[in-house]
Amino acid sequence: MDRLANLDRRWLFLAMAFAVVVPLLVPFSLPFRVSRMTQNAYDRIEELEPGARVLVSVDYDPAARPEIEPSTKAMVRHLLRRRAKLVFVTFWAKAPPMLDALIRDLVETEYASGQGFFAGASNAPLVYGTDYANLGFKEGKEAAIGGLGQDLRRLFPSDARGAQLSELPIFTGVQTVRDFDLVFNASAGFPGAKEFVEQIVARHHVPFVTATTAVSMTELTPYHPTHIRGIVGGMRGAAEYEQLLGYKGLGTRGLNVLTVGQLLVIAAIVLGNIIYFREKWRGAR
Amino acid sequence: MKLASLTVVFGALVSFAIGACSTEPVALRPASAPNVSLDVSGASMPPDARAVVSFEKSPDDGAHGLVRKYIVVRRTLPHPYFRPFRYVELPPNPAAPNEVRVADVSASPGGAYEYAVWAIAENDRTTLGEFGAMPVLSAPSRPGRMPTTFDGPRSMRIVRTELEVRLRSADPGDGRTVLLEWDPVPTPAAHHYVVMRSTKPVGPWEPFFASEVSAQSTGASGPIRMRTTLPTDEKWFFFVWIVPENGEATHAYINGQGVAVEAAWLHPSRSAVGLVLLLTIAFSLWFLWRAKHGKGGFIRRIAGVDAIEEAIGRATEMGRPVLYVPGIDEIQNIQTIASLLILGRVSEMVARYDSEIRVPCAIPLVATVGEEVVRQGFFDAGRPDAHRPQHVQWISSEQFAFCAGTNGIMLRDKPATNLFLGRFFGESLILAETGYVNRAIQIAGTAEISQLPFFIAACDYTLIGEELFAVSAYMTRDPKLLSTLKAGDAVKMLVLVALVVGSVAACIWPSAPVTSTILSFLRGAD
Amino acid sequence: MRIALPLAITFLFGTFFVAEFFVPHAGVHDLVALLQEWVSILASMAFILGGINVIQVNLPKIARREKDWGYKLALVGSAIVTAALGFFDDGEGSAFQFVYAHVFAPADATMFALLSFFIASAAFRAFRARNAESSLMLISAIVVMLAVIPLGEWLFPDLPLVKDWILDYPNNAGRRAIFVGAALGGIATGFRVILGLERSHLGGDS
Repeated sequence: MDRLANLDRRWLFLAMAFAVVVPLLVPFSLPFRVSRMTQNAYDRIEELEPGARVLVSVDYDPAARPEIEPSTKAMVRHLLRRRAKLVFVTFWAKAPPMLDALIRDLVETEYASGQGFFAGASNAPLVYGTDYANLGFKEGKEAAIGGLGQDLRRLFPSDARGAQLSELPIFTGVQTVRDFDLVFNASAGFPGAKEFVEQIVARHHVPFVTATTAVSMTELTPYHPTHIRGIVGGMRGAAEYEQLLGYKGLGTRGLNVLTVGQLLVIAAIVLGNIIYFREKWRGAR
Repeated sequence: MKLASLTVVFGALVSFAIGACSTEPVALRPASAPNVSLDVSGASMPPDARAVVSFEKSPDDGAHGLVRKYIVVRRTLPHPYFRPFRYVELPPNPAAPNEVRVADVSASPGGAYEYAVWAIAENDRTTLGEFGAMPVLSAPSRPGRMPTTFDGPRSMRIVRTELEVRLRSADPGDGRTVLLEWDPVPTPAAHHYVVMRSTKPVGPWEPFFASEVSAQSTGASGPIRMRTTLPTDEKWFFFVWIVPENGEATHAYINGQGVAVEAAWLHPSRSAVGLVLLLTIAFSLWFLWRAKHGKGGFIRRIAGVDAIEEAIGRATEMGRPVLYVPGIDEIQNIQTIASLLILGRVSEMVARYDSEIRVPCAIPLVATVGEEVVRQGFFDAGRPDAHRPQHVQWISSEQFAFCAGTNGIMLRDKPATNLFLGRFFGESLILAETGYVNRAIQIAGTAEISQLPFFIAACDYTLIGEELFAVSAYMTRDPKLLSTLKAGDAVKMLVLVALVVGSVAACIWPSAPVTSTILSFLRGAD
Repeated sequence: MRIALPLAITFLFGTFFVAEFFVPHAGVHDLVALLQEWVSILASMAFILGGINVIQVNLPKIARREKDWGYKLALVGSAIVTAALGFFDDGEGSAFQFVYAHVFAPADATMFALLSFFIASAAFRAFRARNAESSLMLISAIVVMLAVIPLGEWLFPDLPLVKDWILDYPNNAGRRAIFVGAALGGIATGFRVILGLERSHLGGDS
């Protein structure tokens, strides 16, 4: 126990490494319930009519990608299953390559060729400009997000591929964010869901759902369900959404890692307190 | 550094000049008129059509993508005025034929009609097309120019008046954005709504909006809303046409006289925020007056701030530098500004103690200003020679690259005191834990709530929220600065009272007029 | 003049931006949009300064072969190479994309992943039940952590309800209280800066 009191923290690091790697190599599954916030997000997307126009804002960087991409992919798959028309955008400078990869992997490969989640479904290939579009990155943070509510065409004269918005049928009748049936924001920080609530939802009352990191969830929960219809938070949220969609992806595997990791942290806390109280009682005696 | 600063200023001026000289976007000019012709010969007409109006797409259609919508208007001769009779919206398809043909199935045989076409540009500017006028099935065409005026509601025969159109300012009071709202007309036939506007209550009117709404699509789903941005700051008047699928338009009034929209100079919904601001200013002035008359108020001890000077002294004794991280956000963020204010005091203290300071920055502008602040601090301490500009450096604007660089400074230079004051995100715990390796005294301060738990767990002292903003006033004990501190506390007490009173009132008298009035005031209308 | 001019500009623009929040007139908002564009332009130009700063700080150390000069050479070299690639070889399948996908993105994710290790060591070191408040924090932390994982839900089916209550009530109350305090502190700081009561951020008479 005395050795534990002076434990080199690198032993903890090693234990955490095992806690992360082993569940990935040896998957297991424990049942879990879907939270109200995730269910609300799912229900909101499920209510969409085919052909509904959805703005998908992908606002995370490579650092947050492992945590937030499983839920983002799950929700985009759901949107594709609902045959929604998707307009992608981002307000993070590091996000465009990941946004391109998301479109390429999900929309242009998985959906179009009936792979993975869409296996067995006969989907007509989606046409860029009619069924989906990519507006790319816009600098300006919350000011740029606010610009979506003023004049989207002024904010984005052309899309990420250089085409004028007026040449793309998906933008027919679209002047502002109010012309969308739903806004979905995958948010890892600033600018993100909170800025969307302040600039878009509060002013223009557009339905809004978000996928976010676990640490940001606590600051967004006061907005649920009045401003944010549904929140899919962290790895747990990703796993819940995958369960609702009926598949087990990275989110579910990540939840296993989260389970073992949390247990290790709890064990570290308990151990630390045992050591603390032992030292205290020793000192008292 | 002076040359670099001049380079930045020069580059900024050039950019401003380029921006000022840039031309207006194409979308702001009116659409060009479409060429219109009329065909009543019977050849290639639909069987039930009395006439076919054909027009060429506007020259702007497709080229700049301006024009998609056309309104065909018709007048029954010898009646002098036109009414909208068909709304056409073309999909964006550059390969589509240039000619558009619209059949008129509602004209009476033997009647005389004239037609014209309005092209509506995407920026809501309109123009008239040339028209071809001829009686149906009889006389040859008589091309001519259409009158530029269009009738207003007074001189039009009223066909249907039950449509009530409500007008209000959207985004209240900016003088440009208005919201028109009306309940859908219960008619079995499909129809469109065409909204006209004018700067005068009697016209000339121009159509500027055509709703895609039809009877089938509205059902009982609620009022139709149309939001539009007006092109100028003048007063504008509106009225709405109902254009059946086949047949002439009926129309409706807005209050019979049109409604003016004016820009406001005050947001009524933000009065609560304004009240808080005024109270803060008023209390600041009051406490300043009190301080000048020797009635200074009590400021509670903030352990973290008191520890800063001890920590700097410790660093001096150990011969190791002080690390100061001003957060990772832009300079316009209030936490960064507060951090730079504190940096001035800290660098003066460091200079007096004859120690060293390292200031890694994530934003180049913050590094530039930080270097000036540190230089001033050393100057104020009478040690300008001791200042080392290279100790204030820009690491990277990438969050974790900055974190890695700062960790490197901590592991190499082994500062004895780490000050993390400003806005932080996910790198906060990594910085604090790396600092712990050196057994440094760590004092953190941020108003970023999500990072506070990490700092509390890993640092010796943490300044929470408003304590960060109080540091510079607290350190100087200047009465002018302390007065604003006291003012903030006073307003907070009022907020506390309002919370308690409001919560009790909302629980006990939820429907009382006073309760709902106060709640509306505080909530605002945004 | 060196101090007076920046103070005057600060007062003018600071007062304007405070006032524009309360003025809905479209003309004012057009001016605000223009000024925000100017801020973006200035911030972008400052990156040139940042680049100069990197070279000014590191090149002398490389020239003098100071300790760890090799790392500084790697820093300056990779910064120049990446910037050059960004200018001349960008787009799908380019070298710049390769650097982003295979160097930057993994390094970024790795640094963020370090948090998991540091969380464990911070929890071991700092989460001690020293007094009533820290005990309460400890218990809340364990409840919330357990409630998030399926095992906790399986062991205590009502634990998620307790977690939701903790997050919805005590957590939100504390969070909102800190928000209010921080907002008022921000107003007070802004007031001091706009009125020129605080000047240390301007540099000065050196």
